[in-house]
Amino acid sequence: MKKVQLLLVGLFMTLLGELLSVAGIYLSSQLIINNDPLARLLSGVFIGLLLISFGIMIAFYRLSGSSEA
Amino acid sequence: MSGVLERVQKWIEERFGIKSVDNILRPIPNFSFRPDYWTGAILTTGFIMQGLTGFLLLLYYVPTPDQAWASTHYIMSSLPYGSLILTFHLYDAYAIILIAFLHMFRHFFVGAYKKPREAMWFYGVILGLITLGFGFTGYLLPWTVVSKSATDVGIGMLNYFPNWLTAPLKSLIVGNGTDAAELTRFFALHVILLPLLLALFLFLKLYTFEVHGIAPPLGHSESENVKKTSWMPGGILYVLMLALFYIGGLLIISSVFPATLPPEYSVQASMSVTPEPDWYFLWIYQILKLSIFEGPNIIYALILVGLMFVILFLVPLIDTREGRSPSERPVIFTLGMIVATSIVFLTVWAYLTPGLTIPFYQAVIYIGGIALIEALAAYAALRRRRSSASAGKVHPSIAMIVMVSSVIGASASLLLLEKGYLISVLLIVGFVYAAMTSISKIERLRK
Repeated sequence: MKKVQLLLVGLFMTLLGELLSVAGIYLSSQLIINNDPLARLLSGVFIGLLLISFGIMIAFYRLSGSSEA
Repeated sequence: MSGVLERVQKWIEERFGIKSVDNILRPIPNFSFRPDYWTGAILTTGFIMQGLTGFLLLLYYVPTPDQAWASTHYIMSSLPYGSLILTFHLYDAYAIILIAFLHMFRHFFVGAYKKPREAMWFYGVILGLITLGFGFTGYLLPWTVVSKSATDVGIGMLNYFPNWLTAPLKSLIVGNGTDAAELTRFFALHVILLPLLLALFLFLKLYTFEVHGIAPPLGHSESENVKKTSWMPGGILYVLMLALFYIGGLLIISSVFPATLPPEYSVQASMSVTPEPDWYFLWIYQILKLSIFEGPNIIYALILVGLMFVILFLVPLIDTREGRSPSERPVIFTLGMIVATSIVFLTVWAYLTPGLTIPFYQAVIYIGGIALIEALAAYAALRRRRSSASAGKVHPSIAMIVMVSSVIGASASLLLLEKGYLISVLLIVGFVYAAMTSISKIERLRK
């Protein structure tokens, strides 16, 4: 794949992951105040997913060779 | 825009004396962009997260015997995100200990402690002990029946040593001997003294790392010119990526498998539980449970374990030859393999036999069996390697290991026969036969 394509794929995956996880964090944070067990389970999953999404973005950025410039 | 950036750069340079990151941190060789070269960075990330989550827990945790368990229970059951943060703190500690062991054995097996990096090994062993200290002190803090009982058993072992030797340590960790004094001291050690020591030795280690840089891969020399990448942005981004994967992954695990809080400590409750240390001390616990170390003889087990740590610390001074590859230092490499496997084996064994005294002959059989098989494997590998270079010359030390291991294995089999454990004998014979067959096959392939 070309450098631009790699960057775009990384960006798309990250955006998707971030969108999903931010929505999840928002929804679970509303429920977690009432100690909802499902929200307690999911809150960390969504925050973890958000961080991994950023990690994936960096991985694609590195893969494209841009970090060595 | 570039004018603004230049002005900012100039401002920083004039005030802090920093022109660019390459003036402070040496560029990173490209061969090292692999996770196994960066286990130390993952550990540092883990420690930073421990500091952050520990601070959040401190806001609610109360270090008194009547409130410690209740406040931990409140954090886990009622506080928003409390369960996640406490579980993360616990699992991060577990991950740190596990990765620290991998980090140590990885650097042992690639000989990264050799000249000029001996100091890094010394700092590393001290940091490892500090990490275990964190584990030991942190285990008591929730004041659960298992953790308090096990900690008391651990502290009680000090009584087997002469009083003049242990009195300062005892007054530091248990004070006047009451529960309140013990908990307050463990808390103070966990949140003040150990973090300070950690910061000091981590700084020293990172400073030495910057002085010497990353050890080159096996078969390459320090003076070789390799392609390098600047810390900004290449190195920073790589470490940030690893850190994000580590923290994100651990958060997901902490959510899906939240920790549970065992019952609160009380004298009555402690009567009905088997005191057991956390998993990272199980291998030591198993050594202490051996039948020959029963009663006052436990002092010899403690001396043995202490001696193991002293030898570990002195590894760079024991193995001073220049070669780093396994074939250039077969004895210490094989011993390392045996120790690593034995630690894993003893941990699993202790987990399966809580509170049971272990007959000494069993340990001789199992550890002897491991030693025998690994020594034979090392012998086969070395013989194959050496023979291709110089007509089958065997390193005398390796031969010695094989001989000693065989004697241990043979005596183990005799003991087994005496006890009538026929199946175990068959298993050991099977293992040895398999090892021998593999060797002969390797030999045939060579010819």
